[in-house]
Amino acid sequence: MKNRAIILLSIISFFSLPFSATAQDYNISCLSYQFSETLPTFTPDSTDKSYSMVIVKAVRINEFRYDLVKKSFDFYYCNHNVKYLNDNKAVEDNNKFYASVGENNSFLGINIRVIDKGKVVFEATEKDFIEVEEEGRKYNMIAIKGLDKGMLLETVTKTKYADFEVYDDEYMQYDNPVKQAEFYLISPENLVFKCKSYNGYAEIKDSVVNERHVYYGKQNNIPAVNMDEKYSFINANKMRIEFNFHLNNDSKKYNAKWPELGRTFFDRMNYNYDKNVKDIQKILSKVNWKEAKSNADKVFLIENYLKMNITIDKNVEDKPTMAESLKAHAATPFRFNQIMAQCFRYTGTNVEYILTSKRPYKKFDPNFDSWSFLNNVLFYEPESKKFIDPQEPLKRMGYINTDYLGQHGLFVKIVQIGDAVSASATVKLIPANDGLKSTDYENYSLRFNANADKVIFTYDRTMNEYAEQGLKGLYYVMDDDNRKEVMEGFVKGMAKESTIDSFQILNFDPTVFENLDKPLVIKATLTTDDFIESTGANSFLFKIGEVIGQQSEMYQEKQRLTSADIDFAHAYKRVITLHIPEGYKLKGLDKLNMNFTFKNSETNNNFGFTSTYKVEGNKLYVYCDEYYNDLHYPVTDFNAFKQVINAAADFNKISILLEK
Amino acid sequence: MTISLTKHFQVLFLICITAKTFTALGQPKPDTERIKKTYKNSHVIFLNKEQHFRIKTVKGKIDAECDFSQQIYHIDNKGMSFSERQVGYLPDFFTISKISATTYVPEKDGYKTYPVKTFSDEGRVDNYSNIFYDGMRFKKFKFTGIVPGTISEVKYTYKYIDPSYLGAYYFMMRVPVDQNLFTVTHSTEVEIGYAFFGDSSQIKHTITQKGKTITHKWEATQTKEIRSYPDAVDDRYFEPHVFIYIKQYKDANGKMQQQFGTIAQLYKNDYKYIEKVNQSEMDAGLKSDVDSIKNISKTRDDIIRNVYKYVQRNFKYIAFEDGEGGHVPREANDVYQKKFGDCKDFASLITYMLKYCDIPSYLCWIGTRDLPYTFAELPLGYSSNHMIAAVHNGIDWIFIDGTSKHIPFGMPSGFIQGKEAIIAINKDSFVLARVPILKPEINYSLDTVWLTIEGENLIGKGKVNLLGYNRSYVVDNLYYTDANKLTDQLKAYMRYGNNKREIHSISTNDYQNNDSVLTIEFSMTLPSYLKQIDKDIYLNMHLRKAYEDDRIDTIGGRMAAKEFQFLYFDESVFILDIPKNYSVKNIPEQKTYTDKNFTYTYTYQQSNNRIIYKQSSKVFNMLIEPEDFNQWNNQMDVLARIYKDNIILTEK
Repeated sequence: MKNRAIILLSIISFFSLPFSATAQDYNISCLSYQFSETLPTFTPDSTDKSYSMVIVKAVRINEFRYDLVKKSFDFYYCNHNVKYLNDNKAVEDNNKFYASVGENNSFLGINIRVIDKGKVVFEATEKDFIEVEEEGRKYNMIAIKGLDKGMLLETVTKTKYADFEVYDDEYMQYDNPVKQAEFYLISPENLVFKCKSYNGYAEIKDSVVNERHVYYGKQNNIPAVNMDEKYSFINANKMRIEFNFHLNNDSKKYNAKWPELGRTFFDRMNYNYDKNVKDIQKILSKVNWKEAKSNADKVFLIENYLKMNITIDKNVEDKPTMAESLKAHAATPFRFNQIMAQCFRYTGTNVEYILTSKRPYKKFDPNFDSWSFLNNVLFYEPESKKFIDPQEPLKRMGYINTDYLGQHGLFVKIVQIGDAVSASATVKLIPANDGLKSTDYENYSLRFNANADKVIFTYDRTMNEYAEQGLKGLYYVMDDDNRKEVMEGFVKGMAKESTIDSFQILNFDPTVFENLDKPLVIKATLTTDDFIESTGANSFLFKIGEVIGQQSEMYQEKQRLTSADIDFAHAYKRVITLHIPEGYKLKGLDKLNMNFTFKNSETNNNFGFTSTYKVEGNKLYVYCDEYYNDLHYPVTDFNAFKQVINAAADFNKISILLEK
Repeated sequence: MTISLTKHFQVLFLICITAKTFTALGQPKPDTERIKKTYKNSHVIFLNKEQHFRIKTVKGKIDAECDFSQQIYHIDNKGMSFSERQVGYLPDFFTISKISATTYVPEKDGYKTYPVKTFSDEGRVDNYSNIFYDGMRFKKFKFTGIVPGTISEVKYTYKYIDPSYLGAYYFMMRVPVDQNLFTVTHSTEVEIGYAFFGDSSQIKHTITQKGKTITHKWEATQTKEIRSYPDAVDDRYFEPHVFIYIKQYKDANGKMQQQFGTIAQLYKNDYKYIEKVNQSEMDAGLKSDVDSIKNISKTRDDIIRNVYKYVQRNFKYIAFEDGEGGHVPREANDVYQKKFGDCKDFASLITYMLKYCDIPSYLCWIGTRDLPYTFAELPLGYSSNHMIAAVHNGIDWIFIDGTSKHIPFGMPSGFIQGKEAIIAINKDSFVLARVPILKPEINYSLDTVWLTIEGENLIGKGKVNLLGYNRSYVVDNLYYTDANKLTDQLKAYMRYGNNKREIHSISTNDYQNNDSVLTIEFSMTLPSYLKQIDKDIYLNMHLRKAYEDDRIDTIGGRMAAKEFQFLYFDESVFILDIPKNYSVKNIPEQKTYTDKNFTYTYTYQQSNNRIIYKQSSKVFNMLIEPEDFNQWNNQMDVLARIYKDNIILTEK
């Protein structure tokens, strides 16, 4: 079972293990699973031939079973693939085979065979493999002899897990098409699981056969994932199955639902809280939290202090105590969250904990109570209604990784009755950000030199809320060399060969509370001839569209089957002021009028790109607005979304003529 | 939607992996003020980097050990991420012992020491490198408690099983080195040789003798860090480094045994790896394939060409570098059965097949262009990292590289151009020959595009011809592209005008035929490119700006030359039909330039109802040396201005 969450569940104690049960007669089992005696065959049609490889068959077996001899409850996983190799790329991608298991897990068997024209031309089992260990994982590797185009490569890998959970997800869609996919979940009859399919995979049905649940779902013709899609949460959109233990029929105990999962998490966050109090006091001794003007101020001070003094490193070995973690300036993500949670609790901030997942990874399903959706942690300060992202060292309260915006989460709230401390938990929405508040105000003023062969470009940007795109914190931690290199590239935009005459950046320090809601302001003066193209003696073209910087485009984007999703709702309000040099007239201004406005069919919110202009005296003003008020654009709105994105890229291509 | 930040973020995330901390520095022993002042732009430096060889004879055999020690000083919080380290070793060539690592964390009165207690011993799995398995092992460990001012120290000893490979000492690293010290202490029963590369002016070398012990000492202080540039030659072209080797030693009988120092000695040492290869009878299947090749080939050259094609088409590259296997070409019969192999294996297969056809062919050792050494300068195994085959056509040597899938017979791989090869004739003789650098004209590319104006769109119909390495590098990419993405991949090469171009049809001739010119034909519509203002049409004819992103980055006092993968001759011709009711109002002037490194010409010609615009350039040198950077960049500025020229057509 692939990457298992570290979270250990007390759920295992819910089983009353029926060791007295008689031996079972399994029809399908990881233990006995092997190649079929009948060799697989496949004849690709013209569509199949357009892919490097076709997965003719993909079988995944997740099997929970009792070992009556060892009196243990075990988990096995089997991965069976039959791949048809269409081209050289497929051969080179597959002629080196790797299988790996974690430290405590073991291979039950690895089998490979290559079939050419109905005959097996190569076979290997684990004895033929080179074994290498790296980073705590054991690898079995083999280079497959004789593999060539037009052959079938069949592999079965069976693994026994010592570390496992009773929930997981199984992705069934890959970057090559799958002709036939089969998902199995097998469990003893007393252990009932829930399975749910997502993104179009067939429904998983339960049959009880020979005292086992066999949950099964077969899906034919799964299309290849297009990895090149833009503005797409490719992973979240893949066909997959979630499964989770539900009920032990012997003990009649149900698996934990959201509230219980929340309480379990609360206990983990507050593990040894009473014993840690001295440690927390030591940590907080350098935080002036008692003088805080508000709850939000208090939360900020703690967040800021911890983020400034402890580096999060998933590979670090946590010190025995929290105070020692602070002294070592390093902690694992979990330990860091724990320190933050206990500091918040100690200071009486009533901060809530939120468990969720990142949107591009998977959409939170409020109706499927499972740890599988609870991968990431946020905090929530209810007075100011601000979220805190403990794993983002360069962000401060109110601003979180945008992958969580608009996602549901399990909100865990501390409940204190007398001396008893517990928690309640409910699923709620982590709101999307307000697109209008995340506006990037861009004011560009351009004056020509006396010869009208260079422009003095005054650059003035005020980037509010999420529109600062994380630049605040990054600028803060960069050294001078990096600051120079990055900011030069940033303000130069499409005028690559310009010189920067002055530069100013304001409000970038995220460690100052007062800066939290202040916009990032960047001002610069540049001199460049990059926007000018020569057309002879009395005129020149001015590439006014390039002034706003390179815009992303979706010109080549093909028919989409999935929605468009963006990181955060936002807007640009741009004003370009062009000082017309004396003696020159402007021509070709009509292209500056653009209007692409639409409504999101799910929310009725607007999104669009508009551009207008006016000439007053010796000045040309161009007003160019772009706004995306939603995070999510359903597939029915995809073409409109593409038009808006491309409108900005079209604006880039506008030139006007200045003529004497 | 603005994308300009994204690019910068990718760079930034690399440097922002640690949170900023405000830990007060203690009073560490090193001269912190001097260090901070000297290395003000560095987060980490090598305080000391030392390597001490001890070489003697024991029972008439070489006994070589080397003690390594490195102290890294973590100047500020951004230098804290250097906590995880590894030291590699190759059990069949050199083993590791006495490894220790210690963190010295600054305290009020000195340092508190934290010795590393756990060293894991691991192999390497690298799905992405060219080497599938190399037997390399690593001692991995983690320093704890690194804060600004900390010194992390690692020490270990290598014992050399095979003293043919004693390695080199490098005086420059990716971070500055405050003190370099490299010593070689050996008994008088051993004579050592050394080969120094790079600028030696800042390196002090002394030789002392005490009784029967001789010591070479190389010292250097404050060597600056090596910066990375995407178009740069390998670091070894300019960084100071010294190889050492055993010239001769006294054996148990008191006789001096010659080792290394001449190419002949190197050859003698290396020949043992190949002398026993392919002595057995040819596999029946392989024999049948070679017979078929002989049947379809009319001439000797045909046979060689077809053998080469056979290997290129039917065998995949997978490298096993396991112990001695790293030197010995595998049996051709074996390679034939497996359908995969590495450079040595392909060379073995090619020479075996040609031998069966009675065509003399030879295995060759060669270094790729990454290695700046000639065999005379460095008569050691470190001068070569690749194996190919060679045949002689009566006039010249022809080099055949089985690892290059998309070059025709007669052309060497691009990455060995200009390099010396040792051609193994037999046990007693070899030939030293140089692989040619192909002339720009061989790597010719020509695009011809016929343009018409329809409304506000530019309509184009074009043909691109690619030859030489221009062809083979494109085909390399196509080879690894899914069939359903092939059209998109081809379209991606047609970067004409702007990103709004619509390529309607695109096709190639048989791109897998290495002997033919690659021809790509296409048609396109280019919207939003020409500007129609009042009665005039403004058109920038530079639809492809060959040198738009070719400035040399010279930041940081660049020492590394710019390297081209090959010399090239690039021509584009854009032929515009002037619309019927339009006449030409403005045509830019011709521009031309030549220096020792490159030349270009941009011309416009009006002929009847057409404007023919032609751009042509050639690169004459594979390396642009630092002294020529300014000249090159000045021309890039000139070209940027040339690229701004427009033609104007006006309505009659």
